[in-house]
Amino acid sequence: MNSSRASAPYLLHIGISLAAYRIFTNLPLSFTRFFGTGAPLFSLISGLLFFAILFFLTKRLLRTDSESIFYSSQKTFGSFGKYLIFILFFIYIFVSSAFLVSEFSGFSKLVAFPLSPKWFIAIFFVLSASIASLSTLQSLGKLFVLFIPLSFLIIAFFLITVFFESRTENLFPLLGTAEKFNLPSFLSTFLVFSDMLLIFILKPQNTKAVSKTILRSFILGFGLVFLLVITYTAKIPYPLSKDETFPLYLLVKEVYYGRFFQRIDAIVLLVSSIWGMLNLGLNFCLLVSLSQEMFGIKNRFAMVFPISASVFFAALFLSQALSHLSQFFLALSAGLLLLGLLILAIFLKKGGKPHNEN
Amino acid sequence: MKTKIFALFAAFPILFLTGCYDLKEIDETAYIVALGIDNGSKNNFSYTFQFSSPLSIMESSAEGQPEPKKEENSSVTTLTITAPDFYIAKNLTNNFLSKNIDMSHLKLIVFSAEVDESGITKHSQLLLREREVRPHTSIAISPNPASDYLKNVNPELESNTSKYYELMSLRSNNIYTPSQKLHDFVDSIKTRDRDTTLPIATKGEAVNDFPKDSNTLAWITPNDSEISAKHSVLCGTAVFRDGKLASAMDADSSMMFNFLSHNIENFVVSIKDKYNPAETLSFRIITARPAQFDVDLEKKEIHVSQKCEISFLGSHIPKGYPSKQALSDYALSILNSRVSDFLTYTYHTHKVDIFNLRDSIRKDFFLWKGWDSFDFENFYKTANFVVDIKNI
Repeated sequence: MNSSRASAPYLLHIGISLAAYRIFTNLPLSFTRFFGTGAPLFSLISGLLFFAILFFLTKRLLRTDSESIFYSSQKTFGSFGKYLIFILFFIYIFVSSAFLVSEFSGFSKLVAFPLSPKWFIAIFFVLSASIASLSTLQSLGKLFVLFIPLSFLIIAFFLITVFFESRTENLFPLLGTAEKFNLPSFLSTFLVFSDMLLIFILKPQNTKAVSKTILRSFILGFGLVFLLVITYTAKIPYPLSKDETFPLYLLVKEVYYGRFFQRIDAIVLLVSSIWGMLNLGLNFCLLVSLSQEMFGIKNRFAMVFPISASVFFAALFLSQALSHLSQFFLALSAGLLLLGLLILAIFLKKGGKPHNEN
Repeated sequence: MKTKIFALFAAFPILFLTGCYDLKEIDETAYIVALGIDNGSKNNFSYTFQFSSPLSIMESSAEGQPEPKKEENSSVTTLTITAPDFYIAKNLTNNFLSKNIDMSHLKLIVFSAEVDESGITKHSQLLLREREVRPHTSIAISPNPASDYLKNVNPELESNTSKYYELMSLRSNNIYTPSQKLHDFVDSIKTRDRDTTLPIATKGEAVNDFPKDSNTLAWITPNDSEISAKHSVLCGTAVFRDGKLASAMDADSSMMFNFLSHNIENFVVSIKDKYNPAETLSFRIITARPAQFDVDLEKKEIHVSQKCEISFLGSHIPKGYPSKQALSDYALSILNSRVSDFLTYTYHTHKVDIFNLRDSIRKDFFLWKGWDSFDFENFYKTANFVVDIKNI
């Protein structure tokens, strides 16, 4: 699993990206749909709760520098535990990748390619991610370091300017439709940040600051999600806001700095495409590494085509035949993975020799 | 080596990007700059498309000598199609236009007041959903056929009609009408019980036929003025509730609305001299921010406060006023009365909430359930306005 390990400097940027990239999808809308004008407050609560879970998991699962999560699960629950965690991660990454391809293709189509079929746009995402998966995570990490800070600042800048043009009265009543609160709906909002769980198979070697880096990256990534939710709630009045799609696109359309600077769709298209391709590349890289480990295949190249083809067709299938179920599959796989990690963290056995993974 | 071959193979489809599905040639495209929507015959709508004629604009800009003004606006081509649906009308234009129609430069949408609530809601939502149409596109309503307004637009000082629409409707130099953007209008009509304003687009001579709002003593309104130009104008305010035309305000009330909502930053008002009513005194009023509305639910009072800078536009202090300060204080008292009259007339007589006070009151509630049970309609129709405009 060395090929799926990120060095510490890259972990911060990968973490930010994992926590925040779903601002380009429809998922942040779940806050508005469930809580109305209370979306910013409940997104804050949701983020804090997820932070607490992440804190617990990092404290329990990242205690030794060289111990992978699969070795920990094998040590605690035997080979069954190891393969179960393998499978849970594999399924989650697969579903998440299909969801990513479907949502980012939809976003790009909406922004710039209205006449192009979705599959045609999806091809570009899958091809770029396939190439990325041939390299190591260290090489991919360099791209994250290069790109994520810049795109983070661009999106944050646009959102802040739109927020200052919006009506803060739209944020009230502060609790929104909290009287209709139900726990499953609230927990489903974790999906916005659920890719953050992948950080546990990216644990870098020889560093003691991993936990802090992970938590710091989540806070930064969540900051962007919160900024999107509060800007969206302030800009698009409720109940109109709950019936919309792709909140970031709607807000970006509102950018108007006078006659000289408007229609920034092209910038956002570029940022979203690169961000999506990087995350998909990371997912493919992890899928290839997991497949190699599970099936004992040494040739990475041989794994790339089956994985990219299956993700591509799953994305098309999810977006067309089962569009209403795509979030359900994502929630199911994320829920099972989170449950698996929590059980592992609770029952984790201490001690033992670090496993030689080579 | 395999990786390089794979990368080359993957990069190959990029070659198709320039000429694939979303290909658009600029010289094969006709740009709509304004759209008028009227009621047509047999439940149809009548759509007036105004296309930019870039060649005419270029010719008029290139010629050194200014050409005598023509009666017709040659920088645009206007055509009207009656159809049951916007897209059918748009498709029908392709029966005789060789170019593809593009709405990415649409600057103004004008609805005729005859178009009913569902027609306005349907079309404004539909246009906002269009990827090509920008949310900042201006929107207006015409008491006459919208096609009449568009056909009579003949910019006096601008060769590009598209730029004319943009300057007229989005720049805050027109104090007698509000500006409205498509996305704000759609947000308002789709949100429960929210009132919204639209500028009135009409022919110049029709302005004098508008009903006039109540007047404040000593305040001089522009309502008796006459516009000699026969061309189209934007003047006055139409108020909408749930997509339905609820009320209309004259030019002077529109100015008050713009003053309180900070759509205009400075303007000049004229008032009668209290010692010599035959004379008028002119003052420049400058505001820095929108007026603040604070609601006292128990006392049933709405407190309106606004800070502004009032300066006298005259070379000497008129007789009877001991100082410039006394003159400004007099102007301030008249302005306070005018704002108070305007708000009372708007909220109690017109019964419309143009400043969206409901948004301010909503802050006092924690849940939508509580807000829904509050009878806001009854509150604002009977609440007293306490106006406090300060000269800073």
